[in-house]
Amino acid sequence: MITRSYHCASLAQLQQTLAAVKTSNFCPSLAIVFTSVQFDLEQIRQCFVEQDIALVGCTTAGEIVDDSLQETSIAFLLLDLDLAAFRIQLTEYKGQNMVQAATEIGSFVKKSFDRPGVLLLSSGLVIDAQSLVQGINSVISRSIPIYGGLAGDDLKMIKTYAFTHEKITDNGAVSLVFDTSKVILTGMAISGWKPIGGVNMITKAEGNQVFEINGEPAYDVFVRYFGLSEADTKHDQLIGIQTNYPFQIIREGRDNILRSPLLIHRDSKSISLAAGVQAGDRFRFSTAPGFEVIEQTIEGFKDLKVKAPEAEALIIFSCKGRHGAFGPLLNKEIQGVYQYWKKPAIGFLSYGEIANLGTDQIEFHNETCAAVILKAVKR
Amino acid sequence: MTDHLEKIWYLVQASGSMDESDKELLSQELAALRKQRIEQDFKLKRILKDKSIAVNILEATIQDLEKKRLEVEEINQKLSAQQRELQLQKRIIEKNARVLQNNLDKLELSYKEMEQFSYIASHDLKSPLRTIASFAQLLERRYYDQLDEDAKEFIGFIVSGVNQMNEVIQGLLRYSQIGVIGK
Repeated sequence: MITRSYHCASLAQLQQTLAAVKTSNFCPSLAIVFTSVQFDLEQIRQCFVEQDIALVGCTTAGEIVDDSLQETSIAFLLLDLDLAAFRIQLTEYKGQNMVQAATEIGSFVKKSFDRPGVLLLSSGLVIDAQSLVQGINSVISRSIPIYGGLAGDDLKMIKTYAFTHEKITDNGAVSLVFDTSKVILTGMAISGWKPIGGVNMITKAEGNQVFEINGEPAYDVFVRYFGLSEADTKHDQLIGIQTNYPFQIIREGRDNILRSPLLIHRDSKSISLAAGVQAGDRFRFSTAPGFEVIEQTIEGFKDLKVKAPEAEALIIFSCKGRHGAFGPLLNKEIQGVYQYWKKPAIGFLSYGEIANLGTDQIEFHNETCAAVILKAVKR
Repeated sequence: MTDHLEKIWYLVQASGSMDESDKELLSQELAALRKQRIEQDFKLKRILKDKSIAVNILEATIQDLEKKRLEVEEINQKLSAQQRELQLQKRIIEKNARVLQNNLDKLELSYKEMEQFSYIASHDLKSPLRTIASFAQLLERRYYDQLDEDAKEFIGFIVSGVNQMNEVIQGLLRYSQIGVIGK
């Protein structure tokens, strides 16, 4: 399988790049595109349709190409993959209940291949991706590799998009299902965020929306714990807090799972987290880790290198919160991960990641760096 | 530091006293320093922000713990007051129980006294009655031929009255025993 990674700063450059590809010997059948929300998605879609290249993609909060981090660009990976080795579906969400969507995606995945592996890109700011992942696995009746991320919108927190060569959605998911007997799909995620302060309890919640913490309006607790003044609660100041200091949901007998507060609702004095929670869930606030975590994360991906020593493409989902926490030093992390395989890589700064965090269990996370390896099976 | 280097860089460029390879080297070093400065500035800014947020979170945690402590203290005070009230009620109940036991003891004593009285009364009353009946019957037997019909009838009344009186006493005795059994 031949793979190539690109990034363009404009639609014109995208058109030129794709035209140049067409005139070369490289004939890609599939494109994975991660783009800033500032570009016209319909035009991007059209560019790939004109070149007869199947397309999956989503908007981002920053793009990764090989070992560098880009801003407001169109990053894409082209693969000359056997058309019989993958299938694509776009599933629209109906309301906030993920059961129907999970059933639909699960059924599609199940009937696609005997041994499927999924790359899942979801739009929607407040969707319960954890329920989505669990729902898909329950339809298939076993755990299959599912990796992916929640689309971004350059931290505008207004609308995110996922798309295929056929359709664009701001409330749905794109599933790229691989036949893992033909393409190896494996990955992992690493976090590093530490808990701080006492144990709090969510006392009223509905789906992703938390109304009360410790019997107090969730918004009031949030403002008080982060020492925010009225001026601080304006979008720009708040956004750094939201993405850098997630809730650590405490789970009996399992590791804590991080949930970033994605939206703050002043009117209802509530907070929307990146995944569903329930009244009675306990959590602690967290602080961003020290900069040594960058080295530790790179070191941690040695495990993936051992598991998948060879790659033909690398896809990286890095939480936007990591960018907020590590700033310009995030490049070092991306470079470190890229160096293990030195193969065409693309990725994006996401609003949530789907991967396994040091265990076999694939879940939805926040504040992680997830890497996914693609490699054609040798015959 | 890099601001000074920037100035030196411009001075070097202006003077033209450096060859191109040295200029290139200096330019690269300066770029590396610029990058380092950006990273250091970011680290410093984030560390200060983290510190401030960590302090806020810990202060809020302490505030909440203090609030919980006060709530627990208030609940403890209420529980203590309830405990005192319960102890008071317990003492009253114990006192009432003692009074009740005392009354029961008195009642039992009364029953015993009544039983004794009934026994004594029945025994003491029955003894003279037996004497009256015996002598009336003796009188009738010995002087039967000397007694006219009226006298015989009167003796019969005496014996009959004694039997009736005896039954009344027996009744009284049974009544007193029913009280003792019922107790």
